[in-house]
Amino acid sequence: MKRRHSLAMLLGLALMVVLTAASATTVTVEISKYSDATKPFFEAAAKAFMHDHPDIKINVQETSWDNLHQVLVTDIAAKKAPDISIIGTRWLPEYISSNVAMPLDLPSSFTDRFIPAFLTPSSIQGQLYGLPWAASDRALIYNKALFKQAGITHPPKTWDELQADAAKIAALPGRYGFGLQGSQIETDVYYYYFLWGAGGEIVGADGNSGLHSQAASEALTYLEGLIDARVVEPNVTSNTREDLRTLFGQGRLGMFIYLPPIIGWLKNNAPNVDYGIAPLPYKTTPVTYAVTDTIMMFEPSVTGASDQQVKDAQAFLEYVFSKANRVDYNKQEGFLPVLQDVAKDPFFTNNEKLNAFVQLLPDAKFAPIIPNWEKIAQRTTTMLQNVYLGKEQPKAALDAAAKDIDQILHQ
Amino acid sequence: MRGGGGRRVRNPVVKGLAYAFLTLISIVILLPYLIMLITSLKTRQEVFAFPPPWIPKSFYVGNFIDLFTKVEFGHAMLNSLIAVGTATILTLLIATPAAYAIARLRFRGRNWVVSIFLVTQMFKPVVIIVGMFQVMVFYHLLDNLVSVILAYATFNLAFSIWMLSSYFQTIPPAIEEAAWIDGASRWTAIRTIFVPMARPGMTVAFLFSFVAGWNDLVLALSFLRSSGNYTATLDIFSLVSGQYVVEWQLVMAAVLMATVPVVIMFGFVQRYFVEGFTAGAVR
Amino acid sequence: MAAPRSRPTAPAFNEQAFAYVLLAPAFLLAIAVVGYPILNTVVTAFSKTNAVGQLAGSAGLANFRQIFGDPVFLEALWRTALWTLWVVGLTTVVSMVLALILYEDLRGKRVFQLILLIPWATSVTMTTIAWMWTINGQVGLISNTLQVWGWIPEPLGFLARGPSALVVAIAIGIVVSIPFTTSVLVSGLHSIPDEILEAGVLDGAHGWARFRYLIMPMLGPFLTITLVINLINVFNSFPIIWTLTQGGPAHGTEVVVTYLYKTAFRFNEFGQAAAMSLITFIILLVLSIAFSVQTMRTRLS
Repeated sequence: MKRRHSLAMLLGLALMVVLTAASATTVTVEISKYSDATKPFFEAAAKAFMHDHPDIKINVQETSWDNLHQVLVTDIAAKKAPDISIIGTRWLPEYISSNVAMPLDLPSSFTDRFIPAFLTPSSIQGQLYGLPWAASDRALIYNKALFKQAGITHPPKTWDELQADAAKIAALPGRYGFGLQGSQIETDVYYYYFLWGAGGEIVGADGNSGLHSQAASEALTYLEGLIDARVVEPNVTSNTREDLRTLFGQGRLGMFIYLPPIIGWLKNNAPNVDYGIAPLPYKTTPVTYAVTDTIMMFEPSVTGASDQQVKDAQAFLEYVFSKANRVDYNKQEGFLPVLQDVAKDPFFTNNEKLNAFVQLLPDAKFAPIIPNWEKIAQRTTTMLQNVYLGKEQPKAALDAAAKDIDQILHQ
Repeated sequence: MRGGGGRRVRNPVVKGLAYAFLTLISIVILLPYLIMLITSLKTRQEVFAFPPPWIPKSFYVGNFIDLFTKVEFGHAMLNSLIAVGTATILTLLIATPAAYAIARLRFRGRNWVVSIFLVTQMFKPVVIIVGMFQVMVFYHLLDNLVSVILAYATFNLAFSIWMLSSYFQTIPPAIEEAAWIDGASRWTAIRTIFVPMARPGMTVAFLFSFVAGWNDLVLALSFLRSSGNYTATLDIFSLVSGQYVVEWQLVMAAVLMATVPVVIMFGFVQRYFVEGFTAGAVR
Repeated sequence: MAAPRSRPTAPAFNEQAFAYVLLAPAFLLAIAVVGYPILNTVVTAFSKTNAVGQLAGSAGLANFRQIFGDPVFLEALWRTALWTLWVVGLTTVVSMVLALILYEDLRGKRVFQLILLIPWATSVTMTTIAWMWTINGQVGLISNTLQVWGWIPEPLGFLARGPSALVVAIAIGIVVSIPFTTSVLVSGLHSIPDEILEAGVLDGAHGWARFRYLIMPMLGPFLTITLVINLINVFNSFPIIWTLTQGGPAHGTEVVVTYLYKTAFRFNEFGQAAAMSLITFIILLVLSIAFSVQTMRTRLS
């Protein structure tokens, strides 16, 4: 008799466990690695969230930026897409047109917390598809000690000043004036600083490539001139953005353009460099490049999620954007705050260097969020590299690239 | 005796040239490892110092320790050993009978078998990764070491079958036939006479398959998602892949650590490879 | 052995059926793992695709027309041929010399043999990264030392230009192919009966003739293996060039497989990428069949 009771109890217990497990949802979050701090942040947030929500399991997966796009493609093809993913904002149009990006349905009490400018890149035709996860803009980073040595009193404001100052520093033995990026991601962006600074646009008002314009020609000729005058680092086309950063950290580079995480990087790797942060030099239009990485959700058609799972995922999404979490995250990674309440936190208002980046936001421009953007970026990059290497003249290069880009735009 | 190797070179000029050539190649091969070693002993700030020092100031071994605490490198190495070891054994188990058939038996299509398997080699993983991922999902093997085991075993089949069959064909059938005359069954002949003579070929097939699996990145990257399942190569890759921060001193330390067990294995097997001959055949 | 006699018969059984049984596991594994992916690639090459790789109806030959009309692809095809020929050619020559040297009884032979195997122990990506680190202009020890000695006026910039970057890639390609090629050739040498190698190759005036007429033919099948396997692997080799330059600058080191990756995973043109895979496959298939059938034919006699 007793035995049968305990057996029944055991079965009942097992059933309960099974049922609870069955009702527990698993939310998959795909993140990209910015630094060693990225994953620990998410795992800590997941742990805290799971503590408050015992029937939700958060599964954090990390991959590198280089591979993220490919990993997502294979995931989507096999209908195993993550519920939540960080993506490059430029990928949104392709996900939207393929109906795999989920329009976000969030309360305005939540979305109102964001700095409006940062919501625009992930809002397509009035519908919000993602939230800005990492936001940054660009500024001129300059070495104060080298400036002093070269007799420069203030950071350059115009193109002419930039070239003159770079020349002065390049005259010092073993030193390079201005860092010009010629390799890998955002090589084209380095050009846009000058294209925009001369009043040009990437896509003109007529819907054609902005490379047809006078401003485009002025900007490219100027950069070519810097190389000819030997005021930039040697071997431009093998220098990535991070290579320039290395040169700067070694104290061999006078100035270059970079984003807010430079503050943390210099502190950790080259604490002895005395540096300043200034707005980008411009010709007619003060400008900076702002970019967001987006965190978004995939449609159940490619994730296989139940309605409950979607709800749970959304809850976690809102959770990671809590003020405490975002202050924490921004402190670790060094990006700009995307939430107004976070921006007001004393950590940021008192941070002189980070503030220098924030001040530039009113002049910020974003890259156009259009389909086939990668093709356009690649074509522009190829054009720039050909000119930097002296294989093409600016005029011919611009004409050829503009023609190809027009074709891509009207595909 | 077959191919025992080892005779004296009498001409000193030729001998000198041979040594010079070997030394040159050795330097080219070892140079990057030297650089890796130097870098792995530097601290974070020393790595970017200019001018870069040839001799690390502090011989900082903390990087190696960090590997085990920071990224569970030991666990990843174990995963690699298990996954790749199993895959290699699987490859040999499947390839050896197939190679024997091609070398010894007559059947229709014999000329074409190797070519057919080569087809699997012509589509490198990176090229068919989308389809492969779908297959693994279909088998419910995602984020499971079995997925890479099966994949590695498959991609090594062509070479293993080819290498083994070619090698088997250099073993004269007369040897087995002699055993049959003595009354041995086919199976015994294979086991006691054939297999020992096939060892050098099998060793190369083993090495090739092991190395190919140990060094794979694309498949591991796509199939393995949770860090607890990472292979050593994937672990190293995750160290290098930070968008804004890469700690090179850790990367170099990791690469050295991942290389060492394989080199040790080579050391053991190599001795066997060169000297593993039994006097067996009677000429 | 005396007069030729008829071949002794093995214990009786059905030879062909037995052969198929032995081959079955290999076939099954291959089909189970790569059967669908290959089929998928073939179908995709003739399909219209959307941005996330989903198929959307037949495209006939449109993808192929598109890529053959693309100058970057055509140039990448040509460059891939060059890249493959240089790497496979030089690797074969170097490995052959190494194999012959290692066959002789030299002091320290064991050590050298181990050193030659070392590149195999590290993933190709990491070897490339180590080499990049070595020749790097900013933090590279070599570049800086050469500058300090006054040998070069400016930091090394091999990766700044297509041609020089390709040379670096070829050098790395050779280094990582040596272990495999040398191993197979050494193994092949060991399979040659002693009498033929009696006087050794490195000795005397008869060395070269002996090598050409006696050793080479017996080494033939092994040489073919290395040539074909290297051909396939190098043609499809992704990590070296991708890690060095990602095919840049300005497509200066672009080969088919790097362009394929970009086409698929950056430009989202999966149909075109699949078409490129198919073209590559056809090229390799033709070459490999030519090689291996020829070998099989000689072997069977």
